[in-house]
Amino acid sequence: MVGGYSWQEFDNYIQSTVATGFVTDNLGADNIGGGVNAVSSNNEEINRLISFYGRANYSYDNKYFLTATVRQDGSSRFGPNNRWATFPSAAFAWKLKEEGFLKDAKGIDDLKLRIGYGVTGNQNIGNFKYSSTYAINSSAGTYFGGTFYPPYNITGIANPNLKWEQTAQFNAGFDFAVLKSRLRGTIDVYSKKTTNLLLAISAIQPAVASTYLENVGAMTNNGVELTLDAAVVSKKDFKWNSNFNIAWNKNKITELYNNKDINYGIISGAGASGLPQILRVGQSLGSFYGQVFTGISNNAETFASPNPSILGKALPDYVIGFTNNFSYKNWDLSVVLRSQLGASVYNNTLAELSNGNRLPGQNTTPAAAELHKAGFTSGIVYCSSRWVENADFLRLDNLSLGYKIKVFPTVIKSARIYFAAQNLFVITKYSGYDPEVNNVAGNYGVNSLGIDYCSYPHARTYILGINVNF
Amino acid sequence: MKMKKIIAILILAATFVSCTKLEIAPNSQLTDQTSFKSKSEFLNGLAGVYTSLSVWGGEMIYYFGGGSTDEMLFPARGTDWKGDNQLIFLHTVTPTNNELNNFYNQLSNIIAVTNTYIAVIDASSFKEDNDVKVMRSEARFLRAFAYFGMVDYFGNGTLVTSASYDPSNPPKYATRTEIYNFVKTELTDLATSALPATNSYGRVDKYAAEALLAKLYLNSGIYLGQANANLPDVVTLTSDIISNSSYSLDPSYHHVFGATNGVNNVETLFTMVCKNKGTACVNMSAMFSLDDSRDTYGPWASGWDGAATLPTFYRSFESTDIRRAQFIAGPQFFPDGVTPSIQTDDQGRSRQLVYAVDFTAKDPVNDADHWDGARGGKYMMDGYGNFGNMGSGGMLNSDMPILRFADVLMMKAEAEYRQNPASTDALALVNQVRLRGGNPVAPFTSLNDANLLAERGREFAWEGWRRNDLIRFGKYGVAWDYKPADGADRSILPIPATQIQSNPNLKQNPGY
Repeated sequence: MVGGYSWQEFDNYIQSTVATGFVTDNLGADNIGGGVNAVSSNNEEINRLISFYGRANYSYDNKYFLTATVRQDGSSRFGPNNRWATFPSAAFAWKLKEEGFLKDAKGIDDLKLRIGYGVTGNQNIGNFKYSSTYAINSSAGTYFGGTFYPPYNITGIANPNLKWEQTAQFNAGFDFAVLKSRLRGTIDVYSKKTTNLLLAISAIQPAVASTYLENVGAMTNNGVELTLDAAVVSKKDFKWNSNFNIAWNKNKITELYNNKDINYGIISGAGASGLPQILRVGQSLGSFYGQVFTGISNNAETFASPNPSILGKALPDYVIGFTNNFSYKNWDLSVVLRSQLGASVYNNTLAELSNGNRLPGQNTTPAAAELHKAGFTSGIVYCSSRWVENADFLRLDNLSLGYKIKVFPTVIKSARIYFAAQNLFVITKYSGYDPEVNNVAGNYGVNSLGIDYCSYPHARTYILGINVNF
Repeated sequence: MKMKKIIAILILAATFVSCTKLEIAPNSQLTDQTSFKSKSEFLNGLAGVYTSLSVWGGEMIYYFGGGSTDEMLFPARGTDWKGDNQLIFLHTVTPTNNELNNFYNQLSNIIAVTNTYIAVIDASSFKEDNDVKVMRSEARFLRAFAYFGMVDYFGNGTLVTSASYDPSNPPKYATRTEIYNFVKTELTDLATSALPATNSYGRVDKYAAEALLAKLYLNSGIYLGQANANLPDVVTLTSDIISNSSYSLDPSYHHVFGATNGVNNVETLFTMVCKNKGTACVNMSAMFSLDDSRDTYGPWASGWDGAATLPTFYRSFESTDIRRAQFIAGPQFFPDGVTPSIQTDDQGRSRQLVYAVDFTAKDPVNDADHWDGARGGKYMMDGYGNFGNMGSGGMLNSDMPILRFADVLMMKAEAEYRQNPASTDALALVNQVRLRGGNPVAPFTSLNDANLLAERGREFAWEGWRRNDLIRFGKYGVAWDYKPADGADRSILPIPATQIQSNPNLKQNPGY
């Protein structure tokens, strides 16, 4: 049994001085007093995280294992009414293989059952979000009768009930090994429920701010994960190990503030407007939202309906990995494949470059230039399924081929020459550079997901190297 | 030994208490508990209230107030500025427009900030102090001004006078008439008793309340959807300002907008105080409009190349009218007036910068040339030198008037003219404004809708009132340069979709 206490204080202090009009640049920033119009500012914010925790481990007969923890966390970031929260967890493992009825079972080399439940908290928000304060900024005041007055500016809408976001997770799984342990694997199923989501919502006007933080809803993540490790061939000269994993996850928003949709996300580009993503009860996080595009006729975009609908989601259903390692005498070869299925990407780059009114003068895609020639010279509807694309892909993440050499065995223990390539190919229907995008653009306190705007694609890398151990 | 034990226990106890303490006050900001403890702080609070006026220098002049009218176009120049401004100009703004929502939020912010300030005063021991009472009245004036904006731009909405924020009980819907009546009642009280006859420059007095009330009454026919029954009230209010206040027509039109207009200003009743350093409200008129005019106006006169005036509006000024200097048009020179300012044009050629009165581009709204259109120079009529000094970029030093004495005269003239088109007093008032400082233009010999509206256009160009004027004269939906006539009535903006989503009690305006 273990008990503990932790006390953490984070003190964020910023001091800045800006000056212009230096006589000489030679002293750089080391003589700010030498400039004129020096303006100093500073800001200090402290937040505190206090925890009491305890853990108990119990094992019986090397068969039954029980771990229970409980922690009480307090964060200064929440409202006075809700600073403390209790987060319990319990895990049980049962080594079935040690039981009499399996101990001598041939074919089954290991079998273990795991069951767990735990609650975790999230306090990853800014400081003082629960309160309304006055900021004083002497560079943004006013003059009354020629005299300057620094202003008291109200910052933020008070929300004394702001509390911890909590995620409760239940999981159950098996670890097993069969065929003389040449095939090992784990299967896990889990169900996560996140409640009291911390999101910024639009304030009801009139209000001193346009948005504020609220515990607005709940979502679930349910999934299954399977991992298999196989020693396919295990000869003296030739070895082949294979690892396969597949994870299925389904995210669903189950509750929102007053069950109202939250539109968010950012579209970039000249003249672009609209919010391409939506949080809606029953839908996945990162769902795309807009009109269903049906084609172009009479040089205008046409849509199934003027009303927007759900157009896809940025989160994948399946994430799959497949790794194979081969070795033959002094040679070794490793191939890592990875795939994601079921996700969509909003191709913001394509949308901008398809805008009919960019021509003449700015670059467009060749297709948009053809449309422009035919008479499509107007702007486009940004929130539309025309720009939401299937982002399924299979990527060769890593390929490496090596050869062990023996030179100067008295000095060098081992040496290996290798060639490795990363991101050698991607098989996808996605028309942009890379279906795996992660442009994080915050809006309404929610980070957008799967919006591709001139994202830097994964690089293709070739490496030729030598490893030497002395 | 015993003592040591006691000390150890005390230390442990103290540690335990402090070890669970999560109450942390912000180090660099004030809270309700630490603010407004001395009387002088209420002036800082008032400064915070006045800084919320910055919406006037942005949305209300350059976007919805001026940029939706025949006096101003924010064209797309290539991809620069492409977006909301063109929709605003063409009256095709929809409820989901982001700029529209910003505007609604900013007007609402004035209401929320003033409500909070009033609540702080009401809960304070200084609430009976006469100076603090005046500050409370000023906050009420600014709140009435924001609600006036709501009536004028959005029509209906909500009417909130309490500072409490309760999302489970969103404000109820209020009709345009209900909000109008609130503004009327508040301004009447402020003009009659609550505001003093004089106040420091930059703060409002009773005559500012009278002028705003006159403005409300002058438009009451539009707001209430009936014939205007308040024209005599307009005459009464403006006459009181003319006879009894210390405000007067500044003999110099240039000085009203010059770099030193914050000093000895006899004309402005209600102003947005802008300095090129230190104020929250900023005069962005040069920034919003000019291309690279540094040769002519100094090292900070390189703007964002946005708003320009329209050719018909520019030509409504006679060439002798000194007020035409508020627009910068044609070939540009160094301050000597001889040396041409050489810049690079859209075709990459080096030649003299010319702000072309007539737009040269095929599509002036959506794809204008970077040099198309005469630019706003209202605050630069004194020439070189009204720009920010170091550290403040292209912000101008001039305050931006919201209500000024010339408008009081013109409102009185219009109210008299509408009751009697042959009114000689109305004619004399308009000519007083038109001929100010010996302006070498011919006086009007009679008044009609067209010359009255045009005269208001020239006098108050780019001051945020053009939309209000056009609607009152029934000209907001007609075609003008580069804008076709509107099919539907666009004189009330849509309620932003975000607002209706947040507060389902709101109702969308007809036609959206």
